[in-house]
Amino acid sequence: MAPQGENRTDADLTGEPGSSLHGVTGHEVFPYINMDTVPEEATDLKGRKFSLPVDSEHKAKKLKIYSFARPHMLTFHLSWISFMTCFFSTFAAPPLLPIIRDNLGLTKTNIAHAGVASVSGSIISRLLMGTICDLFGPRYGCAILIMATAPAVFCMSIVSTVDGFILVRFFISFALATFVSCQFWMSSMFNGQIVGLANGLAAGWGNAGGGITQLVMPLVYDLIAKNIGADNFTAWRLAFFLPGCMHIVMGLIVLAIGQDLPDGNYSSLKRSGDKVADTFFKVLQYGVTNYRTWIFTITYGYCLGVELTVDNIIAQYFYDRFDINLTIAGTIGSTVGLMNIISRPAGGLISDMAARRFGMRGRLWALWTLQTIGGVLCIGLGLLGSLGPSVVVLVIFSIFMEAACGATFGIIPFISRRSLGVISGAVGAGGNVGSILTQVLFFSNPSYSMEKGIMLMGVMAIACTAVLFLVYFPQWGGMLCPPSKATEEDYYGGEWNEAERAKNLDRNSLKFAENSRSERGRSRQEQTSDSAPSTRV
Amino acid sequence: MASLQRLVVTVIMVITLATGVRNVEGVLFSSLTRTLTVIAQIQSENASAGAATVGVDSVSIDWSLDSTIPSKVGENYAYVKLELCFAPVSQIDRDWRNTYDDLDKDKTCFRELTTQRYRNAGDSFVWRIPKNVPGAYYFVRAYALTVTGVEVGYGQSTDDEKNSNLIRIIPITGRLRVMDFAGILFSLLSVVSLFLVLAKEARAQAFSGIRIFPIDLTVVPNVRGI
Repeated sequence: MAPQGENRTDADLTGEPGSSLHGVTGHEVFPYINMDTVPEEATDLKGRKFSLPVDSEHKAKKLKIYSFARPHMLTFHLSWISFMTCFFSTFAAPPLLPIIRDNLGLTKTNIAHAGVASVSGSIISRLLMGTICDLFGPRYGCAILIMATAPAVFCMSIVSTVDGFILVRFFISFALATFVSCQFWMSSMFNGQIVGLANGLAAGWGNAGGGITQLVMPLVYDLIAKNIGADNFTAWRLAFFLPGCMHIVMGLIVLAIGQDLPDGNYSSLKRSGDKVADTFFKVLQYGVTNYRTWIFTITYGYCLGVELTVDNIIAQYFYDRFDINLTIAGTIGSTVGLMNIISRPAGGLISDMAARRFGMRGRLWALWTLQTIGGVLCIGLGLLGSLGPSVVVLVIFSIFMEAACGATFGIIPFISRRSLGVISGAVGAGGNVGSILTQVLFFSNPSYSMEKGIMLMGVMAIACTAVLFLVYFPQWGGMLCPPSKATEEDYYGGEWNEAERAKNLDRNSLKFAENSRSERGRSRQEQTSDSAPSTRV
Repeated sequence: MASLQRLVVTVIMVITLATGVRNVEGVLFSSLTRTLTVIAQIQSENASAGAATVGVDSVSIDWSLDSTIPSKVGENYAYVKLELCFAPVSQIDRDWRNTYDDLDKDKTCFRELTTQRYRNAGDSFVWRIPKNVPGAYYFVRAYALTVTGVEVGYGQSTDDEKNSNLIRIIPITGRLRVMDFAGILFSLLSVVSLFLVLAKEARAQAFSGIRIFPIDLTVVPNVRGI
């Protein structure tokens, strides 16, 4: 059988890799990752047909949300539900804080320290999780983390001192690293053309756990305190058995029916040749020395960071400022997290739509606009003094902030091909660092009231988003500057030195460079589609 | 287009109105005169402890019109409302217990104990401390209310700086032996079941040997079908 690429005409190439890239075709012979839909013989391990169209790596090319079919859609649901469980337990304490603070005698400073602790643990664990997924697979990574943090959740029922409370919140926050395993798992199961949507949906629905918990925990507390008649200081402790049991159940389900790759688990597959054997230090070097990594760490710190901070403080803020009962304060607080269900994927979509017309410059402007409007609304939230308008502004603010989170991850895959894992991990961790910084600066100071803290948080968000103006891609331009004559191959190929290029180690980067020409935007697309396709062998 | 404009204007007006509406200010504490004498004492089996334990002990409160105040003032009073209030030492760094002059906003007195009819000679009340009271230092304040329920006078069981004669209440921890035990049990369940599953999978893999699955992701197209 002749190699596929050679005898086909341009007409045959519609529907091939690049058909969504405005007619640009990736006309390569070998080596390349085949983006064709494999014909009907594609079968899974047990010889059954896949229920979704797949590519040659058996990654799905379509997303059917209402389906639980193995392996792709089942994985999608397992991974977002386990990520949601971890967000649920990390932010289970804030809606119950008005009771907990009386039980343990917490001061405002203690609560702020606990809030900082609740987002610090995941910095370390998110950075490690990438490596663990690489070595052991996302199924083990997710299940081990979820089941290992379950004891910390049960410890919350046993704490009776301030330090105990802070420590327990720190250890529970390790569970937030399931973000990394979730995204890694999606990337293993879904083809590059829809992995953005799959990742955005899974991350958004997982983040919504922070909102669901603010609804559910006060309801569970009410059920136990009023219907079962336990003392209030006992009822909140019993309520924590819910997230604890969710951890155990999800961990066991993931181990029982999850699988790492469409064709099985890491332990029974031999992975050959797909990954260029790269050294950890080289990958780290190119991630760390790329200044864009740090710019996006700062901006994500004031987008996810603001969302995490608000998850921690909002129920208490409404309870104290407006004198409403615990359940209603929790319901209002939950809207922030629940908006994630739609707004995070919507942010990714807005970024993609902007890119189709204006390329990477459109993505940057979209991100800046969304995040700055979010910052302005945050300032407004701090200034408003009455309940109704505060709730309205809170909802709109959370939509914009979470859309900005989704839009950020529309840009991250293009910063580097070689160090994508390191950069994703650093940016993700940056979100947590931003939350820590905000809580330390604005919410642990006794002289700042909570409304002043919220207002200052909005000001800082706007200031930190402004660094986006410094981002410049030579091949696509920046927010204010047009592109230079550099090409995508120069940019991505520049991450490899001469010796490595001689050994053809940069082949995946160059393939990616070809596919990323869509980031030029529509007007420059029309120029490039006339030029000869690449004939790199 | 015109109807859309009208809609936008209406929405803006509603939001502005809603923002503009303020609660009518309540009575200011600084406008009240201290006319009542309040004495609060712990009734405890463990009298030497100097603190009251929730669920077990009680606080007995005696209030009356201050002897230096003419009884004519008392004609205005219809009811007396007794409240448990936080002492300043328990308010430090806890914004949700702050003292504000506006009694509608004030968070110092967080628990109403009872409301009794006013009598010049005074009355008493024994309050059995329920289990949901947080541990802190307290004093008792009595507000004298008119017939319509507006505060016009007060008295408290401590001095003006709220530093003397404070009542210390010892709370429950909320922990139960059963719950401690269940928590430890579930934690062990989680960790042990994780180890068991991992061990089982490691053994299964060792017994069956390493299976090599021919997935070559840089597949040359002409080897499709293998």
